[in-house]
Amino acid sequence: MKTKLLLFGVLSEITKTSSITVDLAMDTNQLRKLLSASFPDFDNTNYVIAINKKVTVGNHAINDGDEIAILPPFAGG
Amino acid sequence: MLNNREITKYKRHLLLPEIGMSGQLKLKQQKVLVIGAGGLGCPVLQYLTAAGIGEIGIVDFDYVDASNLQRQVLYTENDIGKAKAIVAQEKLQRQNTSINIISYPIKLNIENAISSIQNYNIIVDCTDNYSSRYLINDVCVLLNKTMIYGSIHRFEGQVSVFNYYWQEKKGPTYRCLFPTPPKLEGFANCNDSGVLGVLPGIIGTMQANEVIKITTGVGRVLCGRLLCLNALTMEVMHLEIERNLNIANFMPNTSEEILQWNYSLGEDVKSKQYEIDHIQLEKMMDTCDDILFIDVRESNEVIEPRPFRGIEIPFSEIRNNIHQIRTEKTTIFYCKSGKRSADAIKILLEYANPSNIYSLKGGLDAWKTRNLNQQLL
Repeated sequence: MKTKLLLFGVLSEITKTSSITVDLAMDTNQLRKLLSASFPDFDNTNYVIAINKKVTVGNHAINDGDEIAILPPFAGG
Repeated sequence: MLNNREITKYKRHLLLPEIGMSGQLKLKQQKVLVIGAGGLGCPVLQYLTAAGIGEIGIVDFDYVDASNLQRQVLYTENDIGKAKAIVAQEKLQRQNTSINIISYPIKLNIENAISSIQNYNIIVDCTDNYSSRYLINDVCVLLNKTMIYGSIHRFEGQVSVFNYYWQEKKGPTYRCLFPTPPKLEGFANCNDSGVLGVLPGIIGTMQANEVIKITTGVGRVLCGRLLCLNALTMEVMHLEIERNLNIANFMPNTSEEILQWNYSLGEDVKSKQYEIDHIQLEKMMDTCDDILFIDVRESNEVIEPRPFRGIEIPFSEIRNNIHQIRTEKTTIFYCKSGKRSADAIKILLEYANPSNIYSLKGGLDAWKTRNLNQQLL
């Protein structure tokens, strides 16, 4: 199973695309580990994971078909 | 009351039944502080001035630079080198003489933030760095002020209304979205990376729109939702944000704590509260015999017998095992140097609000040195 991730800000610059497809992670902790292994630069920012357009806090289960967005803070003004 | 000149000036607002005379009077009575008079600040200021906000404060310590003119549309080539807050105040006052505009050519810091913010009802965050943003958030939470957040990155922008009371419920804050600043200023602000000139115009206008909606009571405030805009695709996404009560663990909660808070990046002062050194630990072990010790080293690091009886949760497994930790018991996290045990506490604080958890400062290295010194004495 695969999960599609929408990426924003610096994260889309690191991956050079605004969406990537990764192996389906069981939960957001596992997804973070997976992203950290594939893209070590992700660890330089404190991104949040939104599942089905809801920002998650702590660990959350991910189900097949969930829409996942990964969002870093922006500094600019 | 509005005078005849104001009635003519605000006619197009007065013609909207949703705003009308009562809404326009509310705008006249409103006091808004705009922090940052750069890319976002310029459109926010221009539209709030035009809308007739009764009192507008402008905080900015910076000077107009030639590279600002591509997006900071209040300034002209003649303004290069002049203080932004002063130039903005003069121009905006000419734009609308019926309102009161005050400039504060200062850099917002822990000493002046509370006194700057407390006289205004709505605070518009148009800053370009995380330190100011977290400071504004924390002061807004402390003083119960609404924070209109906007930020930009290259072709993308974020907007939300934080700390807004609606139907007797307090909405989420910036820290509910991003509890702590990133370790690095990240990959820079728009002074260092590029930014599309019209983008702050779009995002800043959205921020001004929220000020007007909140003040007049029309529409649905962008509270509990983060608007994400991509100017290249013109895709807009709304993400729901919930209030996270545990953020109180990550932030200063009194004016005294704000004065002592370190807003420079990469440092977390509050986690130091949870550190104990080996002397404090020895005292604690003398008086309390029910302490849970948690070794957060990875199993392959453990060569010598552990000095404390307890359990092992390798740091890499902390998040998965967080719910096994009974937070009502006095708990000491330890590792080799004290770094991972401090990080373990940070993770625990995301999930719970325990009062008697500690990280052994300096870790086992410090603990062993201490014992060695005692034997020599």
